[in-house]
Amino acid sequence: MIAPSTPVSGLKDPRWLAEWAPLAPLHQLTAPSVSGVGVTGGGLTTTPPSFIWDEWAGDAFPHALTPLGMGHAVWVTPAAHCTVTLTGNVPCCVVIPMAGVGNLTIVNQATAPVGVALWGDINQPVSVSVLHDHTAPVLVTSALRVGSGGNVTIQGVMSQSVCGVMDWTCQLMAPHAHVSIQGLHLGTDRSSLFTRSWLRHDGPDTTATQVVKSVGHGKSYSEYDGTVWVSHGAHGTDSTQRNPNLLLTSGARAVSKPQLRIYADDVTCGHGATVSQVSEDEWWYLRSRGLSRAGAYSLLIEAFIRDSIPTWSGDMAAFQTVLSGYLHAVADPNIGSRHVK
Amino acid sequence: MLDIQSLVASIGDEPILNGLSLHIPAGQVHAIMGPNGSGKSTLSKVLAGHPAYEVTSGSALLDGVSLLDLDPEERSLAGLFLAFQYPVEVPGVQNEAFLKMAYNAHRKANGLPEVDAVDFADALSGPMATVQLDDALLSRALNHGFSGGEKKRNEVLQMALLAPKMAILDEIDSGLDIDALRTVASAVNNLRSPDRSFLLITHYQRLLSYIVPDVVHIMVDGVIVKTGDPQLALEVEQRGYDWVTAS
Repeated sequence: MIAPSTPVSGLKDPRWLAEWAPLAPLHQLTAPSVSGVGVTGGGLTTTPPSFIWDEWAGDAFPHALTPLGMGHAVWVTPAAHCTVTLTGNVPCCVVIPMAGVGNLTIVNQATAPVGVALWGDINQPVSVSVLHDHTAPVLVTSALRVGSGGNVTIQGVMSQSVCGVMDWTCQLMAPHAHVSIQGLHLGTDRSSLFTRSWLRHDGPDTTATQVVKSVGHGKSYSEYDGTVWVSHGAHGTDSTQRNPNLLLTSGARAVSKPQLRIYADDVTCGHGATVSQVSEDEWWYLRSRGLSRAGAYSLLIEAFIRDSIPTWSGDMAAFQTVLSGYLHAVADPNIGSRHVK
Repeated sequence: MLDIQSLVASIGDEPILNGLSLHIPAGQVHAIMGPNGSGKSTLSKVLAGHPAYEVTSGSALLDGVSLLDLDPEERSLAGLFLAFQYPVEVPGVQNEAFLKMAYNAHRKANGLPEVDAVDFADALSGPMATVQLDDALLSRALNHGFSGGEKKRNEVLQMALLAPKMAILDEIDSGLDIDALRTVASAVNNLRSPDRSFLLITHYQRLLSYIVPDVVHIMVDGVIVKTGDPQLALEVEQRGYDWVTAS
């Protein structure tokens, strides 16, 4: 059983989450048959959750999930390839062991706060796609220990959420273990979207890439807080972090906190963050070919988004729906002005 | 076709065009030459509606339609095309998808139904053959990572596809090797017709050996200072711009 010895990034005191639901003591967690908890998907089995807390008492997930007031917990064992859709209307947490998983898509349409916890030892290629497209708060957290043969691709997309957090903790244990994190924040109104990552390179010659992009609109807030830790002896580590942000309104904000802690020699690590607006030159170029002002603007936002997740490994139709919905939400037929009189 | 009267334009507080007038009749090819900083590229950007430039007075009519009152996309749909000196790279927008959007925008503006992917491939095949662009560049992001020559071919491809009334080619010869220059010039010559006009902006007479203009203008300090036949370009090549301003 995995028991991360490393600190889990930043969620010990998430006061901004606590206001969304009253705290619920752990012993109140009940079986998944409670009405209002909706988890569907092919090849799923569920078991009562008490096992979780036997194994995890005092560890990362209870700390992370308790503030959401998770009155109910669901233990979900996915098939090798499946889509899990969350549709409940009461707060719940869903715990998913990742052993044996190949391709997992999680679509969150729940109307109540939801926590999702992914954990396990990974010694195989795995892709996880999490799509959150609802105003309810969401917290997705992982503790993955990536061993020999482990190749993890994590894609996390958050749209609409008033408060959304994706917290990816991965420990790269054996040579050539690889983790790729692709995050996308689609901010609107007053949404606050956070991606936090804690990647610990323990084995030599492990590699990781992180690209977390955000689009800000209204008074949305986006934060990327990513730590790469390279342990003693983890020579040959190659780990990169990128955090490009596109702000569409003057009220939108983006904060970037990439951090490197390197205790080994012979490593390659890099991080970069950018904040930009829609390029006037690109916009003008597209318009000079006859594309409408609003259409070209929307196309450039879509291009920024697609460039961050070039290959969506999850349910493509669901991704398209979220993307279209977002572009519609931020579309402004009056964007820009007639430039040359 | 294109009728520019006393055009004055600036960027920031810096005046670039200082009362420029130019008339290009239908079917003619005009060339503008001039020293660095004379305002040649500014003229092309102002006509295509670059947001950074401000027009303070003057007029520019395309077949009687005032370009300066139109948004950039409206100018395109009215039949104006600018082949950029430095085509903009747009990561994330697939070249072919962009071409289809532009093509359909023009069809829609002309009251024609939009075409699907199959019909668009047909429409694109002729222009593709003309400019000899590598097919692989269609599936790449628009101009992203293209070589200088590939970008210029892609500009001429767009021009051939959109079939404008008035095409401005801003230093279409820069960054081209001699073979690419011949291909691009041949594509432009193929598009010459009695109801289409061209404005070539160039530093070098060499381009004008391949695309022979009807009229050559020399531009200095934001105005046209001399106009003549193609022989004028040869004289400038031999004697320099000082000769023009001194004469």
